[in-house]
Amino acid sequence: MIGSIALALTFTASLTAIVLYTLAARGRVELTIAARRSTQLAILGMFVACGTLLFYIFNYHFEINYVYEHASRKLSKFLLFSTFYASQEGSFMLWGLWTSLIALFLIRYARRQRYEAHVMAIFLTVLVFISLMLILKSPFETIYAANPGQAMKGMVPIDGKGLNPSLENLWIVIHPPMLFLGFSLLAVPFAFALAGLIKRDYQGWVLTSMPWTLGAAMVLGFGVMLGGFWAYETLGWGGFWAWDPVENASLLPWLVTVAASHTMLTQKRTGGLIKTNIALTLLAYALVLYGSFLTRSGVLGDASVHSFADPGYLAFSMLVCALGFFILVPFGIFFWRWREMSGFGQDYKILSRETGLSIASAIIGASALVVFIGTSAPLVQKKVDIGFYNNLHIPIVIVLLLVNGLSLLLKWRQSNWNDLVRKSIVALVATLVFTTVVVLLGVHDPRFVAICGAAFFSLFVNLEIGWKILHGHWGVSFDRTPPSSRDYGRRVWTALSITLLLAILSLVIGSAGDYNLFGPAIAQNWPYFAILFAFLLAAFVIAGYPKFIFDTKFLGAYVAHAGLAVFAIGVIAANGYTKHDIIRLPLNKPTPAFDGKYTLTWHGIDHKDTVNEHTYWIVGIADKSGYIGTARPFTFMTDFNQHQEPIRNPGIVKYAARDLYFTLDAAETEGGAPLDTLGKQQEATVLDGKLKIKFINFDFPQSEKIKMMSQQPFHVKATVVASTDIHPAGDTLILGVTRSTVSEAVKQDDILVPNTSFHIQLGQLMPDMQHPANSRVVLRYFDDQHLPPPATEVITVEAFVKPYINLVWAGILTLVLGFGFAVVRRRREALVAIERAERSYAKLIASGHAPMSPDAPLVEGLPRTPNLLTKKKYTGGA
Amino acid sequence: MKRKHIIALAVAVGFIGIAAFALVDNKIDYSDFQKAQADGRRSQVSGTYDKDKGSQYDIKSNTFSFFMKDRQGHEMPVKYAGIRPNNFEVAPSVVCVGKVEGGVFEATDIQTKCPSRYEGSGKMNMDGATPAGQS
Repeated sequence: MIGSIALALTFTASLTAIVLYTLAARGRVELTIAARRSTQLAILGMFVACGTLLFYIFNYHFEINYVYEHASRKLSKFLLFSTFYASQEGSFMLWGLWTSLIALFLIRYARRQRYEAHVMAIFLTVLVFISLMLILKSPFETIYAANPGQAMKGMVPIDGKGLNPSLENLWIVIHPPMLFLGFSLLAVPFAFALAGLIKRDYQGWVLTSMPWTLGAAMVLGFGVMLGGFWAYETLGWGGFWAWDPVENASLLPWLVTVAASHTMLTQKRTGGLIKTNIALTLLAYALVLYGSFLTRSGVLGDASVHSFADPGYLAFSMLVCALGFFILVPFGIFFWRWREMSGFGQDYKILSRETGLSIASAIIGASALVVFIGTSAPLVQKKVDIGFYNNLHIPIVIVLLLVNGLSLLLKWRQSNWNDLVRKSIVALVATLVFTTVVVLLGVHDPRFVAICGAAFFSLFVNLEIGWKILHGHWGVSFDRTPPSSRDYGRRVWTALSITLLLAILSLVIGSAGDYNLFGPAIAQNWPYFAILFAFLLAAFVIAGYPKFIFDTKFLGAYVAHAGLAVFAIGVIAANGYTKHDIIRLPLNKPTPAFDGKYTLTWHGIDHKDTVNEHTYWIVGIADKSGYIGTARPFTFMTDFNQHQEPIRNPGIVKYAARDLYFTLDAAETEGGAPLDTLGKQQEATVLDGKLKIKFINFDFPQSEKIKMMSQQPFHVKATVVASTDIHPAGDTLILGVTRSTVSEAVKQDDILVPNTSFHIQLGQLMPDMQHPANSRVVLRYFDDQHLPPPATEVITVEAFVKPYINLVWAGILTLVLGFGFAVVRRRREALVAIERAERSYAKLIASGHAPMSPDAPLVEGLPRTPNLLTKKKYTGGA
Repeated sequence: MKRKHIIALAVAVGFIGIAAFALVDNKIDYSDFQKAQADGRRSQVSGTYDKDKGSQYDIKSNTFSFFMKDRQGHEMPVKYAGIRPNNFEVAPSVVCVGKVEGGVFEATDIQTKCPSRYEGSGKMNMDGATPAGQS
């Protein structure tokens, strides 16, 4: 109830705010305060709605259909949190939550940038769309409304259905929130671009929007990477990226945003490329909605591993409307203003940084085009092979990396060839050396050699420039003044944060996101971290408190590019040179794998995880030097597929230079006494027809049930009739077995069929509580005189060696870090620029040349940076 | 039009040409067994796994084989170069990409649909339900 009211509040309040802001933008400035209040009300509504849903989830309110469908009492608190966005309604809630949170900060920022009315009016349309979607397809619907006729009014199910098992992973707690934060952030540059278009501030918006564009690229890039990491760690096919339409849908807006961030840099310098930047920024957001349309409308159907439902006619039309609205309206205005935006910009020579940036942008655009075509193919009942993406991206990546290296060596406006050659010598020599090394290491495919060469060139150019920038601007000094009591607190705090950060990082990486291993890992390793903490603390007290100097201001681009180059090398190594093997491992028998390079031993299974009922298959790994690690792929049964077959998760052992990746394929028993499963009154003829066994009934007395409940060993019995040719009437035999719920230990009574050499044992009981007549038993039998070969258990594992896969993750994290540095720099620039513009505006007002309007459409026309000299004078504005 | 525009245009046209070529080369049609057999092209066929005929995995050749019935009701043996996909037994539908060679669908990629609850299995488990307000 509260939830639905809160959603309705968000919808009405954001709609009201849009109206008020629009009026404010058209001159009714006094309405700004009311618009702001209304926005805050809309944000509050969204917060309350999300809080309500979380409350329902964490308190197991299974009368709410969404909670019933996705939550379950079995899930840990971590995973319970991720049920919040497990499905459509919830992911819209997450999207709305981030959008609201951003709105809160955006009001202040846009107000500071004199953009509040326009930007907020546009930005809030997103919230209107999301809240309307949530009202139409509410996460607060009760089971009684959702399942009429099935759910008894007023009754609450005892448990929910739980999460899709492939989502039961730590990364799924971080990946979707990051992705949706990225999507939500992209609405900000979209709003600034459209506002700039409406206000005719074709230059100012670029500067204002820059930190948000970069921030969105950073967060979305990180989110996409986490998705790849999740796929690698859970899906078990050994890769991290399959060009699946769902992956592509989040990659597309990222590519376009990255392209935009390059051309925006050019516009900041030259004042040109106005149309390009607005178009790219509007397009990036349109692609967010296009992606969400593809993944939620059910059109992908067979094209993707991800399951999607038909969301219903209403939701589908809503998605189509939103998509149409966010494409037609902005681009309509864009073409309306087309002529006004032409002809700006300083000229620059072909051999200049500006050209380099434009080419980079065009290449990233080409990549986006390829991804767009492939992803859209299912719309016309087609699909493209992975080869389509891979083959086209080989030239794209080579040219991109080369242009990156070259353009950074070029000066703005104009450069000359001699200069370029002189500057590139160091990088070229290093590239030659490293590429030769790579070829000697075994990379012979010319395409891969070319990518590695281009990547090394880009890497060394960026490292060289980065080093020059940083030279003399980094270091560490120690504050040795005797600490005051407050300083002690700070030192303890710093030592503790460093220790905790390292501990968490090593915990998460070491256990490959499997939170079930957290407990044992902490228990095993805490002394090391205690020692680290003590060491840091002692160092801070004895050597002094360290002060790090590391000026990252101008490093963003170089760090990001270096990350991209490292990523490219990692992809070539890990994907181009993966080794694959399928090995049968008999229990406890060392078996060679990968042509004898490794020796694998399956040591058995481990049922320790009783909460999630995971079964770990322990595989010891040795190489020539001896034991090097243990892989623990695991399987579990789940309600999700009605306990029909186990879900398999890979086990990954990480080293600095490679990962060993294992997926369990099959487990079977070879040899041993045969087994038979019998229902009541069912008879089996076994041992070449010499023995007939009929199962009559089993006996599980109350006293033994009590023992089972209290986790003691318990004894169960089954009655069978065994008949032979000698004694066709048969003997009634009582078979017994002692089992325990806490261990694997099984003790079977060995029963000899009288006057024969035949033995029968009771293997297992399979009682059916609801229909006792359907209960079954598993029996084992053998002939003393013809003993079967001893039973061996064998597993089949699929194994991969992934060389240098860590470069893939390290590269992307470095790329993300670079974007982070750039965000900090551009945010400062935007704030400084507005202050400068305001000062000159104040002068203008003082001299009586400008109209008085707090939400000035007037910053336009004022040069915001000294660089911004345009060929054409502005026509609009003051 | 400046020289740099002409160069840019030429490169763009060239790239689009290559992309179009690659697209035709890598295109996979949504199809069924009959059509796939007739045209011999790489295609995507979806259908259901015929449980009665079972499935085998051969470790020596690393092939997983089974029988699949397509949406038109035609059945064909499928050979997949790899291990049994996750959820294979319970998947309500199986999607194979590959081509027909000698009466066998040689699949290079198999996707199994999860028995998705998003589609609403429709059945509710109200066993042990308690009156509201007691949870």
